Order: sequence, then structure tokens, then C-alpha cells
Amino acid sequence: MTNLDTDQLIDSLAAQYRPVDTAWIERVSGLLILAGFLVSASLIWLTIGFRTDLVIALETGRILTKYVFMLASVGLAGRIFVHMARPGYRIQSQARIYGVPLGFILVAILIQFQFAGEPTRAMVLGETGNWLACMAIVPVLSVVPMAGLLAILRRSAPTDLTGAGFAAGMFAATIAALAYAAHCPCDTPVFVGLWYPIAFLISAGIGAALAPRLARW
Amino acid sequence: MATLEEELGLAMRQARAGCPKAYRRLLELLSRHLKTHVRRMLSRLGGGSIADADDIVQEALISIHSRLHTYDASYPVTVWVNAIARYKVIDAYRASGHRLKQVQLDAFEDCLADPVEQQPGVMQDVKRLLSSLPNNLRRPIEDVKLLGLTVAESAARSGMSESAVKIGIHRGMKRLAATFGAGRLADPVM
Repeated sequence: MTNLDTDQLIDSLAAQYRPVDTAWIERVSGLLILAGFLVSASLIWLTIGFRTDLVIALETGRILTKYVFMLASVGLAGRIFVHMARPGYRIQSQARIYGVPLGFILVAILIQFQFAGEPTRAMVLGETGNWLACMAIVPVLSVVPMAGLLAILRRSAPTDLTGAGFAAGMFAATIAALAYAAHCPCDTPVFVGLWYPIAFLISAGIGAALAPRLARW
Repeated sequence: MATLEEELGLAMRQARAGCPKAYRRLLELLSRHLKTHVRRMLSRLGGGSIADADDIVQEALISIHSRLHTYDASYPVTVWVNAIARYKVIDAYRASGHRLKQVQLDAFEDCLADPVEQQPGVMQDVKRLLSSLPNNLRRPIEDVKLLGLTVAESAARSGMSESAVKIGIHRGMKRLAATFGAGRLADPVM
């Protein structure tokens, strides 16, 4: 009896065969994150505005460390995410590759100490409560792309739901941070290496808490 | 005689390349594999009837059908499908009102990661037996008998001469047979 059921099921599944879109996760999450960046950047531009010295900062390369860190974070968080959306992956082994941008920013911090000596209060905390703004705005902006990424997880097959949600929150936060970086006037490696990862972790924590409910399949 | 993994891999590649016949074959192979795999997982959890197992197998097949895009071609098909099965077993187990403890989750670990999972634990046993041998006997056996390297490859890897590798295998097998006393091990297969 049950055997028959399974055979019937196979018949009907085989009849519904359609070609497999093997890069679906990569393509859809890539498009989503691109849209997330454009929306986040527009929101920042329309509300708090880009920093007035953005062009100068870009030209003098002062902002370079920050953008290298941000882009590496986006890339690696994306890589972790597309892995975690597939069955069998665990966040513990995936998260390791995020050591690359963290290592990079750590080296930048050490180099900074070499040249500038002990970090001043402004170097660590920013000028006027910038650290708080970073930690508040990045997670808020990450909410919309995170919802999209959780929807992708739902249509994929993550077996570590908490870990996959963590990766989704992290990925969304890195793209939000990339957009926010155009507003944030703090470029010191200490500031970037301390507060941005904390902001990422806040979003990642939200994702990890939500995914077991929202991304079940 | 192709192994299950080879058959699955072939069917998966063809199905992903757009062959409906291969897809049916894939589903049939997976259904057979899942039936034993899921039953074994349930019995390890200490429960579950055959009807439960069949329900889970069907759930897993439906998930496989709608989530073929999540297969990662750099891993064996069994690793992918076992991970899905494991997820579905845990889901069903939770749904039936059980609370899973971490210990029970860990009981699945080797189902997930080990491609030689048709006979769980066998590899560990073999490795434990081999660990009783000195290096010059153990390495040739591991290379040639377990990894499937040729004698020449093993010799190149270990820096021993080819005849030393052959002698190592022969003496190693003999010693294992003497120590553990099973007649089958004494067969000096070359």
C-alpha cells in the first residue's frame, strides 16, 4: 500500500520534471542584494545625506581601507549565505572564512597604531556619537534585504536554519553598511573594525532568531 | 558494478542537464536509498513505524523535487540527500511531540558526512585495526587498500620503494590476521 503511494508519487514528480536552474540561489540573492544596496543608498542620500567630503575622501584614498573591508565583507558574507542555503552546511565551519576581512582590518589597525600611536577617543568612537548611529542605522537598513534573503532560504534547503538565518542577517547588514559607509565620516580602522562588525552581529542575531520560524521548508 | 553514488551522480548530472528519463531514474534510486536510510535513522532515535518512515521518504522526495537547485555539484549526491533526509526526520520527530536533545542529534553526524555510510562505523573499525600497525606497514595498506592508489603511487607518496610497499602490505595483512584472527583478513590480496 505505502509502496504504491511512493511509486505514484515518483510518477507524478517525474511527470512534473522541468530543467533545473542550477544557479538560482546565486542569481536571485545577487539581484536582491544589488537592489538592497540601491534602495539603502537612496534612503541615506534622501534622509541623512552622503558625507560632504565623500569625493575628497575617495580621491585621497583615506576611505580606501574602509571600502576594501566593506566589499570583502559583502563578498564573503554572500559566499557564506549561498552555502548555508544548501543542505548539509553548518555555520561553524562556514563562518571561518569571515576571518579574512577581520584579519585585514586588524592589520590595518596595527599599521595605524604604528603611525598614529595610541588611538584617541575620536578614533575609536567617532566624532559625535557616530558609533551609535552606525550600530542603529545598519541593522535598520538591513531589515528589508534580510526579509528577501529569508524568503530565498525558504525556497532553498538550509538544514541549519539558525546558521542560515545568521548568514542572511550578516549578508544583509554588510550591504546596508556598504551603503551607510558613504554617510559615515569615520574612516579609522579602529572604528571600522570595531563598530561595523558589531552592527553585522546584531543583524545576524536577528536573522538567526527569525529563520527557524520564517525559513522552514 | 557501479556503486550507488556513481549511479546517483550520473543520474543527477543528466537530470540537471535536462534529461527527464534520468530524472525518473534519480527519483527511483533516491527513493530506494532513502527507505533504508530513513528507517535506520528512526531506529537510532528509538522509534517510528515503517509507515512513519514512508511518510518521511515521501516528504523528502517532494523536497528534493522542488529543491533540485540546492544540490552542490562539488559534493556527492548521498551527502546532499542524507542532509535533506536528516532535516525531514528531525522535523517529523519534533512534530510528533518529541523533544530532541543534542545527544540524539549527534547520533546522525556520520550519516551526514560519511560517503561510505552504507555500512556506518566500518571505516572507523578498519582504521582502529590499522592503527595497531607500525607506519611502514600501515601506510601502504591505507594507500592501496583504502584509498585505491596503485603500488607505484603509494611508493612515490611515502618515499618507499615499490617492493617495500608490496612487502608492507603483505606483512601488514598477515600481522592483522594473526592479531585479530579472522581468516578473511589473511587473504593476501594483491
